[in-house]
Amino acid sequence: MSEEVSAAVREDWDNREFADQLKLSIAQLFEFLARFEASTRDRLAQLAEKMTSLEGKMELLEAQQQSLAAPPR
Amino acid sequence: MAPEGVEIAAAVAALATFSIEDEQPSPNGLADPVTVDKSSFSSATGFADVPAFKLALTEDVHGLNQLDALVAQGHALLTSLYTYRSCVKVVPQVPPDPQLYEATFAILRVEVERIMTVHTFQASAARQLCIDMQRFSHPGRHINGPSVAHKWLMLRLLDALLLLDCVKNSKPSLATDFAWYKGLFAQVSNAPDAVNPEADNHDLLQVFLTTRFSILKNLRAELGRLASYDDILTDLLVFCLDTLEAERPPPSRSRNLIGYDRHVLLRAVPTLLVLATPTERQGDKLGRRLHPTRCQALFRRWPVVPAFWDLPLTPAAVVMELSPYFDRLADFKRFDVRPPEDDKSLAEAQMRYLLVYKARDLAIAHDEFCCRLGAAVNQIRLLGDTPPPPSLCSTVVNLTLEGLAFLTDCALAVCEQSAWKYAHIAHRAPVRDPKRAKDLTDYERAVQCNYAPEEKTALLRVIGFLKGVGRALEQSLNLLSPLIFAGIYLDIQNLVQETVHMGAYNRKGDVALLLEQLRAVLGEFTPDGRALVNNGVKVPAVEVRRVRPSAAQMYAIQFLMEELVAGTTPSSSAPSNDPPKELLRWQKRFLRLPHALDVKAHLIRLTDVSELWYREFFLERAGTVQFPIDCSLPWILASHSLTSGNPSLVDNVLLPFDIYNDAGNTALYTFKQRHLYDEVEAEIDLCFDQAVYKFGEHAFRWFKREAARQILDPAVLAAAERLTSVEETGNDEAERPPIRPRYFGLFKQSHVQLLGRSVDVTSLLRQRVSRLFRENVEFLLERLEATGLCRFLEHATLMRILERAHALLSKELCLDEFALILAEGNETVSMTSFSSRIGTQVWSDLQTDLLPSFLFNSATQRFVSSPGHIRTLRPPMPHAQPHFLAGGPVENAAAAQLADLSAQFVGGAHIDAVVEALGKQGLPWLVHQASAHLDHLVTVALPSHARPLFSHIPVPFRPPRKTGMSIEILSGPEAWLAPLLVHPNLEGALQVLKEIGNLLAFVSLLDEAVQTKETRQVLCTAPFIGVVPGREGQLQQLVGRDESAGAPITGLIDRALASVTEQLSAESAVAAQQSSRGSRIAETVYWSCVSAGSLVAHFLVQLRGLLEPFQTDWAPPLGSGRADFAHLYAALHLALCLPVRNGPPQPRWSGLGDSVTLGGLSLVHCLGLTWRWNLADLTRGLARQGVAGALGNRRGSGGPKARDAAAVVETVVHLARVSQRSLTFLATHGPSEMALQTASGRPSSPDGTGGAVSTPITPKGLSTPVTPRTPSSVVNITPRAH
Repeated sequence: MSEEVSAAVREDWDNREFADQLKLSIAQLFEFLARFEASTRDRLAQLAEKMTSLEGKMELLEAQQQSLAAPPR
Repeated sequence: MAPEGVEIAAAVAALATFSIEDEQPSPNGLADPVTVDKSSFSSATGFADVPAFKLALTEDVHGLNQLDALVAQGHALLTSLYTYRSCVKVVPQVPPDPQLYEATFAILRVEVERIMTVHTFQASAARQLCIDMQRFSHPGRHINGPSVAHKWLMLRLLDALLLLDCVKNSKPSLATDFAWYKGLFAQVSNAPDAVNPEADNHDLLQVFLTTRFSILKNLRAELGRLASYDDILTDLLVFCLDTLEAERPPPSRSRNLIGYDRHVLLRAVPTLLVLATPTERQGDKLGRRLHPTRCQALFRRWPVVPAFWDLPLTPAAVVMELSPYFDRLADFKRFDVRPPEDDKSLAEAQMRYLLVYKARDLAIAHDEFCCRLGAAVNQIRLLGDTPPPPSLCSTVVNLTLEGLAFLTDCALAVCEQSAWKYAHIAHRAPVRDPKRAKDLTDYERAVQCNYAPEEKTALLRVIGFLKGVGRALEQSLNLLSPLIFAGIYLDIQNLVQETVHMGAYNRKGDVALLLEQLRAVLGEFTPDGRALVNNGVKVPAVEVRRVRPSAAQMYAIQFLMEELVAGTTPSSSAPSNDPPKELLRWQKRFLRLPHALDVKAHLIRLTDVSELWYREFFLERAGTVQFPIDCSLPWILASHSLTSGNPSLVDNVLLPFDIYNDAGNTALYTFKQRHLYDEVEAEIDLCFDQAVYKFGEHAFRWFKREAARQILDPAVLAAAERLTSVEETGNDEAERPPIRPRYFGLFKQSHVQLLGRSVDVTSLLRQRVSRLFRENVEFLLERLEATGLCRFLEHATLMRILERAHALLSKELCLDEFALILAEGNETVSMTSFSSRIGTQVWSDLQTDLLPSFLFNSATQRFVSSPGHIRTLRPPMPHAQPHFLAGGPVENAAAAQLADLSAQFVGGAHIDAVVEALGKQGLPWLVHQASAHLDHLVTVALPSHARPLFSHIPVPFRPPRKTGMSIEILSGPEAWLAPLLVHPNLEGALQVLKEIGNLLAFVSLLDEAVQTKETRQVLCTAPFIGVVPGREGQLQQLVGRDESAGAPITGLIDRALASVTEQLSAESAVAAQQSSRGSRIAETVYWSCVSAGSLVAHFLVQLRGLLEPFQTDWAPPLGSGRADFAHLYAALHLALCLPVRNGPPQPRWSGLGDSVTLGGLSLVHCLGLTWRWNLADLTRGLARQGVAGALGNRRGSGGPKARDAAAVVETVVHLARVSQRSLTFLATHGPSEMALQTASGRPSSPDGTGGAVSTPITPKGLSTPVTPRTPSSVVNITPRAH
């Protein structure tokens, strides 16, 4: 096998190494985005939970406030 | 280019420094079915760089690509056939209409064209396969024979053709639709068949559709045209059998087959047998080269093979149907490839198919693999930027392959069990509905009735292993990939070095050429010719590449290795390491290594369990559009995880929904059928709602049971458990306490993926559970309204259990506050209204039931139902769901047992519970209602009944003077009271007095309950307000050193503020002083509440005020000659001892209770007539005189009259005691007569002159004057002992 083929094979290894590095980086970026999305959803869910709880309390306060405005039973 | 790559890597690595937290344990499988690689799993070819390596493989690759394209087309047609549904079934049955014909024809034409494509494809595939086989069909050819990749592709194409045949056979609607189309074609085209060119095709297609295994028969016919094809078929058959026989059992870490290749081989074997034995003669020829017992052993080991989703395949049946050779063998009883059908053989086969027999081994392998994967990941993380050692790279490669092998085992086990179940449908009906046994569809028998509970559990666990390991591998793949690539790179370089070394002593001919090619294609050398890697150790200063070999390189390795093994002959002077053995080891390793390059593709395929949902074959058989969810295996598994009673299965409830995800994915990307996706979506929506509903109820029930176990008496619970155990199992051993199910993971599911949607399960659960709490509160309140005050203690206990369950569940889920839920149910949200449902119900029961109908027992302080009491009309009892009571059957039984103890009376405990339930907001309302009712009784009811009686009081009213009591003596008062006894208002007056007495007794109990509650509160706050337990259980206030300091807490605040006041600004100092003043005011207000008066006193004062208008008539001055109320009540008191005229022989008292006395004497007390009552009361005198005589008479005579007299005497004695007790009560709890008269502005004294009162009356609930308190004062707070 000629030296030319050997050099071409080496260059091919180099090119594929770069391509693999790029693929791995894309995969890592994708994984980061997936984790970020999951984390964001988790935190948003926690926030929604607190908001729901506050909404319930607000509704109670509104009902109490309306009862104050209404004539006593 | 490398520096740019490094920059990208550094930038991406920086992302890892972000703190991203997600507390959710994922129930899903793979997070994203996305791969950036071209998978070599589904296709080993498709690469274009083979010519670049200057190998003589171009022709082979061309053939491979053609086969690969045919396989892909075959699979596409397979999915098309599998998802085909009858069009004719939906054609409306209407009278003949040309327009309808045309419309139907247009629809059917599209479908028929698809069927025609199948027909065309199978013909071209058969031709192409024959051409390909002919290339390799000559004996003795080893080098340049079909490569492993080529063999696999030929087998895959054969497999695709067999599956097309099987699916076609299982779809009779294809032939039906085509027949319909053919009929329509004749009508629409209006031309005879003879002149229509399509008619011939129609005939061919009809034959194709109606003939079983027409594709295999056509292929066999195509092969028959070849000169010689036996060799290649035999080679393929031997390859299949060798590979299958060499496959190690699941616990083995080095599996040969990864993925579903096993099933491809198992399906290929009968196909090859059929093709190789078209005649008996050729069968005999094959039998000489390959003994049929190998095939027989294989078919006995694998009687059923999964074919296509819900379509199972019996290899022996295919062989017997299509091969005359094996049919003849069986006919002559010489040899039968069919597995025996006896029970023993079936049981043995079941052990290979059913997961219950494999789950344990798989669990061990799962745990072991997870530990090793975790250790490897940690080791890699610890390395950081340090280059990994070669040994670690090799370990990671092996670990990845082991993971894939484990996933293969799990996936195949699930698939094979399904195939077994589909092939062996159960003929027994489901237990819960035996009547439907005859109406069950095959799918119901195959799925719903075919899985025992332990099989469902095993299936759930194995799916969990599959998804869990798949996700773990996916999450660590980015970490592992560089090491996998480096490990494979090292392997390749080592292979090159070793084969080069081997070539040193056997370098001739083709082998030398192959070695040279191998070295050139794969080896990396420095410019001076040195190898970069040698024996796993890299040359210093040269970095090991973290790069995967190209697909062409891997194919070249496999091809060259195979050729090398075939062409290498070991030298007689070979050293100890035998080259062929080494070569075989390398060959075997490089057959497995490509899988490590395709991890993501493998993970996507292996973790896909959509075959558990698809049932097109059974839908075709049943002739229905879809089955109900009860028959759907994912839903059966989800339901089983909740209903199995196994606490460790509960957290798997969301796991089956990943089956729907897989099914949806398959519908979109594999089947490409919208209607299937819609069906999956509809089912998952329904099932998910049901699952959340059931899970919420499950958690609610368990937490209620836990709360009940914390609150109820353990002894009663143990007895109830024993009783339940005896009823259910006949065993009197108590059940073990329930183990807490694994809820934790499920309560954190904030973003579960369902068909691409992110669902916040926690939020849904929170809504569902909060709703359950609301429904439970509503149920308990309705139950209270249906039962009454006697059951209030039970109501309070159940409410307490509910509140405790809420507290326990609130630690896991953010629920609405219980106070808010209760306020909504109890209708106490308004700030201006003090009424509530509980308060209204309590008062309603008091007014309509307890006060008029219950008898008060002054000794036990309880109200009991009077004899002949007619139950008040109440709302119906709401339907009792077990978990709305105390949780479970055992807890309900215990709670009912405890409740029954207090269900026949109303006592102090009931009133305590009422006070607790009403709280500070509801209690004043109840007191106000009671006060209003007392007003009504005294000012309206009592005068109307009592006033007419004054004129019928016997005058003079004197006690009997005889000594000793007898029946004759007792007949005296009856005669005196005759005018009163016959008066129509007598009973009414006594009833009103009873109600007044009942009301006062109730208020007395209420007062005690309030005081007890406050005492408890004071005891809690004692250290802060500066009191200590004194003598006789009283709390005595501490005498502080500094009198101005007040309570310790106030003093503490003062000192703290004083210490910082100097450092504060002027405004802050003012605020500090205001804070100090506020704390003192709070202390004063607190003390004023503690020292408030009693409710009884308040009611007596009110009673006195109400009696004020009657003072003149009912308490006339002495000497006026008019009868007063004391005399009237003395007469009524005596009348209580006598039986009702024309009624039962019991005295009146037995139907009225002690409260008449309490009511009467409270009026006497409030009118200031106690001393006159003492003079007028006859019962005490009668009691003193009559006890001895009556007892003597009772012993002497046993006649009815004597017994009646004795009863009367007993009543007299009892009433005398009751009257004394009532007077004591009034003197103790209520203000003195003098105080009452002063409060009403009238003097009170025996002679009517009155007296002064120094103590102001401060009833509870009224505005209390805040009086300054001295530190040395003593607070008389005596806790009531229960």
